[in-house]
Amino acid sequence: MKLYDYELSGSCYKVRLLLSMLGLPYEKVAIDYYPGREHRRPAFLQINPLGQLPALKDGDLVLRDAQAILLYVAAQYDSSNQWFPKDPATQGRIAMWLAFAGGELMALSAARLHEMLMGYEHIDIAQAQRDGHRALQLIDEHLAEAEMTGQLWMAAAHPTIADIACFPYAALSHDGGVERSAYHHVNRWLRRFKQLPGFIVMPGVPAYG
Amino acid sequence: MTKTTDPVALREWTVIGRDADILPGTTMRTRLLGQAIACTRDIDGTLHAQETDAYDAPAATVSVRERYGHVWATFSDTPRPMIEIPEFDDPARRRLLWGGVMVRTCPQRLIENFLDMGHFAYVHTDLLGSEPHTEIETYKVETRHDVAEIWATECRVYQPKASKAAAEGRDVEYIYRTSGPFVVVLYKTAEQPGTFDNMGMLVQPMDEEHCRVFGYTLLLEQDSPLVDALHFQQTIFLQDRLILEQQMPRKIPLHDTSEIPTRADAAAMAYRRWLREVGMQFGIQPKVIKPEAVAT
Amino acid sequence: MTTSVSASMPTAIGLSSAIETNQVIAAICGGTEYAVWRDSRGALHANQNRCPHRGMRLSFGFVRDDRLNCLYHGWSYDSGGQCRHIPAHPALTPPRTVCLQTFPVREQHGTIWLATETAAGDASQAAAPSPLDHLVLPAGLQATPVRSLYVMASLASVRRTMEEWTPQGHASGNTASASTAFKREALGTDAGTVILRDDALPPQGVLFALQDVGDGRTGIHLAALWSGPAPADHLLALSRQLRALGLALQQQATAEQAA
Repeated sequence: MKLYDYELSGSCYKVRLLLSMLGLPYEKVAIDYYPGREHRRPAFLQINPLGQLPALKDGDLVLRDAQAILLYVAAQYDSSNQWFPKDPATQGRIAMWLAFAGGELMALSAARLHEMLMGYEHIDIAQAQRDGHRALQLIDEHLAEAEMTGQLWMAAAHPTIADIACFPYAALSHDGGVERSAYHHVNRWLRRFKQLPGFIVMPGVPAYG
Repeated sequence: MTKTTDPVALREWTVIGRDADILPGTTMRTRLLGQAIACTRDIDGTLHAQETDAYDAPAATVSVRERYGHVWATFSDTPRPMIEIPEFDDPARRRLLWGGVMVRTCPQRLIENFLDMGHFAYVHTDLLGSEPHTEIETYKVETRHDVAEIWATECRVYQPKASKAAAEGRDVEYIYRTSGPFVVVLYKTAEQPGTFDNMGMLVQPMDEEHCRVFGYTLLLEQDSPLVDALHFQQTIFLQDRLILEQQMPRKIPLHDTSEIPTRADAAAMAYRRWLREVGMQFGIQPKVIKPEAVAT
Repeated sequence: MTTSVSASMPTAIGLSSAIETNQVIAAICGGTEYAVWRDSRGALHANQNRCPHRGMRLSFGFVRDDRLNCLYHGWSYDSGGQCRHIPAHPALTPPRTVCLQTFPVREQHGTIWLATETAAGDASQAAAPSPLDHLVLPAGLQATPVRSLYVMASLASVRRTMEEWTPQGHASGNTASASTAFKREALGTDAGTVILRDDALPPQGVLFALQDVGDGRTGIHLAALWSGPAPADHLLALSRQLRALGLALQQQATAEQAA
């Protein structure tokens, strides 16, 4: 398995997390996203015509989109069936949160890019931060209500790829100027997630605390 | 926000981008020391820059030059001479430019963080340091007022992964060299004993509490992919960025005793002493005049 | 003259469920930040949210060995706010001057209360008065945390909205009976804490505590009162009503801004 990867990408981190938690060996192909913009050059566009990271190559299969890659890796390699269980209701809930992770929650990614890197000046930062807060608020409410029935994770009684998909940009919200003191349930869920076997950090997610 | 009046800041050559950030036939708009500026590269490669007003119209000329792979600007007619880094032209070294990363803090906190080793185990865990190897032994500090440089030498630390190419942990020696308020160079033991890699952090102070950080690494080691060394450097910097944006106040409290140093902070303390001696104001918490000191 | 906030009257900063064992969070009251943490035995402590070394926010730190440790250099503070260990100088006894302000903090009725006046030494939990001290719950009634909600509305505006708002009773779906059943009891001063309590419809009630965060933001901390641990479906119903309250407050705040 080859992962086309950028160390600072929250989306790539989603895949790195699952691969680590499953203990799967893989080859990391480092793409010079910044400042090199290698993801927009012809060689990488052959791998993913959308010019985005991550991308995964497993044998002849080539996948783009972090959420799609999580689904495939879990379905293909997780013999415990924990990360993407077979029952339809759970799969439905997971799909709902995967879409959210690649949709509304990406406001936190936009805010982060604008605040950190050159070339993202077109992003409306105030709007991105407002949308980011709204997304965190939604997760906070969801987790609070799930906990009332004893469910500590996004889509099931145990962690699934829904949690992996939502973790990175929630954990990196400070990079984009979105602080989390109001989201008590999100903060406890982030802590809980960091205790999972195979958890790894990325810059912006501290090893301590 | 308006252009600073601080002469210490204004007399510096300050980085505003990599050469490659301003392509021929394009204009880059940015801020420097509170002032909006525009820098254009003509088709033939010539650079020129101006201050821009509230309507983005060009106003006073700003001097620009290229050095060390970057574009530098100054508002001064008699700027302080730039730092000399002979290693930059050493053909045995591979050059890596980091690209600009923005941070919401003052330039001085960036320099102090770069000079600091006490945070390696907690911020760069299992890379530049790890518990229990947290002790920082006494090192030497010297301020060279004539060239506005502070040198910290004989800094020693054990590093689990000193660089991307490092296969195992080793003891590393660091030499730090600041140049003026916005630049710091690090000489760090390389893979081959007795040799030093060279890296520099170049800070663009856009406003007092908002900077863009550029930098370079000059690697003696020739075999590992350059992109790996780049990502290692970006990893280290982004780990620091989290800390930098959570230090309050954003400007440094130079004129009160609210921040308590220890001996491990000797280099940062020499830097703060120098800032006080030259009377720097940009990026510094203003002196508070207590009410009782004012005659009624 | 009544001051708008009684300095000795604590503010609610979250529900008991907001802070786990060995966790530190940031709490903001009137624009001032605090680091509030639980040690390994579950006891709460509160300090200034700034390490005196280099100004790092302590809420980003970690709790270990019953001490609050700064994320930047690992400076380690005990429950009295005294620095006990500086990792860069392991053999050094940190000077007494390296210490944090401590603030009284306690839990009552499923809610965490912070007094924003400093205390000397290890803040004694018993010393902090609380708006709930004179609230005597009917025997056997206990509080279960529901949820906290932060809204972009002033505390005064939230109070005004809540004066007209009633949560639906669980047993009956009847709006009328629910609204008459509520007995309002505002405790604390103007801009301080507001608590609404219903004990005319046993075995249930609700406890609201408001937090003036500052910058036009208010925290609302909701706990359910029940004869034992409140059942999940009741908590869920209250959580849904809190969401409705939040929307009403948002609309009110938008209307007030436009006016």
